Amino acid sequence: MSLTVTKLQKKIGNREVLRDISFSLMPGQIVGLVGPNGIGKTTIFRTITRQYIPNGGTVMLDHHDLTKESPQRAAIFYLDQQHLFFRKYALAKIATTYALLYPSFDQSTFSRLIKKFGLAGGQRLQSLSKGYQALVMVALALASQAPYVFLDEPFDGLDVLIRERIVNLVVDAVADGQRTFLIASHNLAELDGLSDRVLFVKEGRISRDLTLENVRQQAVKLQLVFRTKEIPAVIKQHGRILNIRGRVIEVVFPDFTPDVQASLEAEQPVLNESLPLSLSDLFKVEFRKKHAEVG
Amino acid sequence: MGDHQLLKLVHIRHKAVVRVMFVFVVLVTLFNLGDTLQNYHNQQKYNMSYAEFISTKKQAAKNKDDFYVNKSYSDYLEDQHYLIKPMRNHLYVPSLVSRIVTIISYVVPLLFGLVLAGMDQASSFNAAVFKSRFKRKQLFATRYWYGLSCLLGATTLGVGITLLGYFAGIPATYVGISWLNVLGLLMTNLAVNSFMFTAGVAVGSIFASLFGMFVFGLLGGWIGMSAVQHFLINTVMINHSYRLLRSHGDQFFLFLFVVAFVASAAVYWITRWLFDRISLENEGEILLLPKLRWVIFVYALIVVPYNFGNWLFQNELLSYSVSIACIVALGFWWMQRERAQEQMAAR
Repeated sequence: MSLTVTKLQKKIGNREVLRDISFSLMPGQIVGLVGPNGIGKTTIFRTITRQYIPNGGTVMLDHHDLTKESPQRAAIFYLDQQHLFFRKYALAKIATTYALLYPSFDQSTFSRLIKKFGLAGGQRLQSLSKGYQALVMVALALASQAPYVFLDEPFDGLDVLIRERIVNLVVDAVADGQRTFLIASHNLAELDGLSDRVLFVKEGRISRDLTLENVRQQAVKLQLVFRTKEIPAVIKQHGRILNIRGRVIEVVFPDFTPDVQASLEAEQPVLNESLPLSLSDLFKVEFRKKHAEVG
Repeated sequence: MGDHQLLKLVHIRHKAVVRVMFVFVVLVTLFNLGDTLQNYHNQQKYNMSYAEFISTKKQAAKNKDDFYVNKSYSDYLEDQHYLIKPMRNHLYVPSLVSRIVTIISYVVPLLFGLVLAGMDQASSFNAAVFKSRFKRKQLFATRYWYGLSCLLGATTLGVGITLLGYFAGIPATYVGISWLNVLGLLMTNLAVNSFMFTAGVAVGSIFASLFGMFVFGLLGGWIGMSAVQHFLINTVMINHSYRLLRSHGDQFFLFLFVVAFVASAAVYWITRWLFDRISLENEGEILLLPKLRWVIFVYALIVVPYNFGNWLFQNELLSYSVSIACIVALGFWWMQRERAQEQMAAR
């Protein structure tokens, strides 16, 4: 079962928020949807799930177009944090409600998970802390048994322990290869070690679709020091500077070919050290203007 | 009615509102009933004396009031015993209907429809269902028929309690109501509830926030109804054929009954069609379907000046100009407000 989004468009007022969103998801992936705040990540989720009616494009789940009325839409679970009608409901009542909305919703899974979090069915959602509310959302997503789960900024404002619990739940859920998570975030550090593929949203399009393994084969992050303060041409041409501290330059080369390597060695750097490349680095490379001031 | 699971969902969602409506209707019914019975018994204690009757009869004749013509004192005393003056072969009995179908009978279905549709929009329940397997039309229809059934259940219970109360509190001979009268009363109840509930659902479905629903929807609806009333009084009601139809009591009633149903059905289908096309990026704004603002603008330009007439210094030109200027200013404010929101709409 694959989910394919093709040329999805959404205009809000006179602004074209989504111009050409195209990507596909296969079972068993954890995919990051990344872009700065206000770029349209939530709009993508809302348009795919038909809260917003698209101006163009299709969302195909195998052969079913989800942009039209379709019972197959239950294959996608998306809880919009800004659209929670059940804030005042007790957890048990939320489960009953979702069991009616999603035919495959498993109430026993939900009960088991909330029990594991130390919560009781009689507690109201609004009485819980932000962290526990986030855990309940994930429990709902897992209990829905939907093969595609969209999480929108699920770690926003959460402490490390809650984040770790959510990450573990997501990783466990994907382990059997039947489910896919699409996780939107403006903070790549949150997706580090979780997503194996990242979609960058820029100017209403998916500007890059990166598999982390491929990126790490092509791109490198180096810490360089040269004899003079002048930045060599090879860096300006092929690299993206992340940071400059004194004469220490942190730079990412998105496409580190043997030619680039040779040109760099020809500059005889005093220090040439390879650093681990994180998703945050890729985010900066993608969204920071090429000649933006760094420091 | 749609999927039974959706019905269950709608039931869970609106259980509390339905209970409140039921309790309110029953309380109002009991209050009304108590008041009617009390008035009836008071009336029995304070009959006019023969001298007072003759004096009143003369006074009425002077005023060209034919109520007392051919009426003896004993007829008067006999009439006084009746709660409703018997009109056994009539479907529509104004004195019976006006006792039970009061202004509250119009307000309750309007607000109940508005609350059912409006709270689902304002609380994001619609958003949750739009994302699920259910069709929007299914949600609209299920909620509508569920709400209308509960409403009719409550108001019919209210009618039942009132009628039983009449027979319990007044000697049966003097209640003066036939089965045909009761049928007419139930038909009135059905027509009023259907039309007002449908109007409430329409306002609650199209407007995007509680502010929009109450300020623009209800106020706009009230001004519109008032303009229609003006129009009817000034044109239709002075028409000869209308007067002729009106003189045929039950036929006129049946005509109004059919009109109410046709209007309800039209509003139902239009609202359902619009609900199917709602895109939620406009929630929290005034309208869920911004394209409709031109329709509303034109509507306001017609009904507001017409309804208020020469309200300013009794001068038509001045009144119409000021009314139109106010509508245009409101329209500009609306557009500016939406433009500012558009900038923040994308997340």
